[in-house]
Amino acid sequence: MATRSAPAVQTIEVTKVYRAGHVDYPALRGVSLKIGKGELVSIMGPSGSGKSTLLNIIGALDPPTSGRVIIDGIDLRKLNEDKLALLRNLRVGFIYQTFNLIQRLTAIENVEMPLIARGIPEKTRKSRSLKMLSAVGLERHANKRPTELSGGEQQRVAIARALVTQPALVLGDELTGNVDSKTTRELISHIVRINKALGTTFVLVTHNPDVSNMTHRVITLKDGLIEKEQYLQRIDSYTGL
Amino acid sequence: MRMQVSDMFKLAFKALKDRKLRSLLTILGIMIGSAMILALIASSSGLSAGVQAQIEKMGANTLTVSSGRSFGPPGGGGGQSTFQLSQDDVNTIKSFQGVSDVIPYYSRGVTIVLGGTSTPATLNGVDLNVLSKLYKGLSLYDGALPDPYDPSAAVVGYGIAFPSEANGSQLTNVNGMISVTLQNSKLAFLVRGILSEFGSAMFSNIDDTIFISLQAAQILLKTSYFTGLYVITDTPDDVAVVQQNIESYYGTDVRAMSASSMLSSIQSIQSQMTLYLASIGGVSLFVAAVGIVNTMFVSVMERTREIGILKALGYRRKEIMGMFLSEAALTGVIGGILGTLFGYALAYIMGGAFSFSLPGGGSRGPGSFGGGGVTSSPVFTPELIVFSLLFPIGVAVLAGLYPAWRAARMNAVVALKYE
Repeated sequence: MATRSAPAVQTIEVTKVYRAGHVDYPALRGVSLKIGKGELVSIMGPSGSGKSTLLNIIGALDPPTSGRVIIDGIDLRKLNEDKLALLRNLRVGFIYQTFNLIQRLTAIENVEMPLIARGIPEKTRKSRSLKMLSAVGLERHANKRPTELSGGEQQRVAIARALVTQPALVLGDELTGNVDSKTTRELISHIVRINKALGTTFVLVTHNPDVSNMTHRVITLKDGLIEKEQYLQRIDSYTGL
Repeated sequence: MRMQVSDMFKLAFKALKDRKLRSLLTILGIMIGSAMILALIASSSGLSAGVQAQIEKMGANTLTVSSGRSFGPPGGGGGQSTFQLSQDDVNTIKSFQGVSDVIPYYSRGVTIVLGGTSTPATLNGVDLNVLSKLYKGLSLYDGALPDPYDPSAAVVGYGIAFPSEANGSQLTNVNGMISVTLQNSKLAFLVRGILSEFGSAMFSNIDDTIFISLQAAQILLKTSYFTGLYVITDTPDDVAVVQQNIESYYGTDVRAMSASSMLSSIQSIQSQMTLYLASIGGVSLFVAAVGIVNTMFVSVMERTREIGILKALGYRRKEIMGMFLSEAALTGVIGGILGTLFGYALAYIMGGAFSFSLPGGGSRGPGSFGGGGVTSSPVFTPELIVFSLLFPIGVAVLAGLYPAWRAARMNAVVALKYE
């Protein structure tokens, strides 16, 4: 069971080996880390260092080859497929570089998707989704499809979708990778604001120093191992943006 | 926490709507298959029912005996045998065990000339006192039975007095005259009685028949050879034995038919035909099912990334499977409803075609195929309708099972990277 004192995320000697034919490719070679509740963490590192793999493992999307992953005190090894899905729905939100919105659904319908999985009645989930869309400044675009929105707007829809379930943990994979610097600053300000207001834990994989500079801690991976960890000072000026 | 089935169907409907043309084509396949099955079964069993109703109007203890082998060729009447039935045969068959009565009859095709128009009809010479015994429920509508020795007296069927072309108005009255043409010679009869509405029995339309007495027919037709004999047995159970005895006594000179033997032989042809036709429908539905499998696989492929998103958002395998199965089921529901409507109409179109498939022509006498005409309207039992609605859904869901399973089993991380 979850405990109040448990960290939001803990990994213990996590490894991940991908196998192609007869050749093994180690993506993670023993990563141990702890991320506290309400922490805003960035993971950096060159391509192929295992950042996205780690993120998918923390998000209960991909099982580690060995080692343990503990989310809010829950050991993922003990959960079957359905329980893992439930955990993702209740506790984890994902934001991707490519937005990963369902193209045929409108913005609000996309935001509703995690609530539909939860069996929440239509009226309730519509109002919650609309509230979330206004929180990211998109209430006027609620009935537009992703193709009618700009990259930044699409990413804000994705953020709304990730947050509508009020997850304890939000994972972002290069979430500013497909937007310009102005939009990047806007997205960062949204995230910092939510982190402060709701105490949501964020783990953001990024190449962008603008993103990592406003997080509490930067973890750098190299060749599947943690190369360094760097605690930064809070940069409150971002919240004013 | 659990995804609601109604949401599953709503999302499925949106997905189908998003690929309108493809969905419509898949639905079309299902629709054609289910319409075919429904139409073929309904019209075929309609014909069965029509045939059965005609045969059952003859008593269950009645046999008809006529000279000749099997069904005569069109226009050939009673076959090509030179054997002819006479009073001796009446006496012979009467002596068989289990036979209670033998009623000889004459039958000829004639043309009625009435008010300038001529319509085909049947002239039957038979002991008029036994008509109601031969045809269950046949009674006099008006007038009386004439004197058997009056060669000009007749009893006419309802359809002759009230032709359908006259829209219910009576063209022939009791004590009125009716003139007919028989092989180029003109005959006139005094109508003594009009029969009640009856319909067809053993493929002969009683309503379009002019009945005269046996004696009158003998005089008019100038022959003592009968067209056929009705053999009445003591009980319905005797029919088979009597039929066998007649056949073994006469060999191929005569053919004896009972309502039940005719029914069973027609029904066996019918059931084979139904099976054959229904299997054609089945094949088309199978092709439609393959179409669904194909469409669904393409759909699962195209939506690989969407499946990855659903998994990341916390949808469980069974929910993802349910979403894809709902799409298949919805295809089946729409296809089934449209197919049932279309099949309903198709059955009536086919019903017409079926009627013509029975041997036609020949003399219009009782016991011979043809002129009486089997009118069949398709039979839609509630079971058939329910089957026609549910079967396509079952087929569609079955076809969607494997693609949906594949979707549900997809690896989330791989699916999310799918381009």
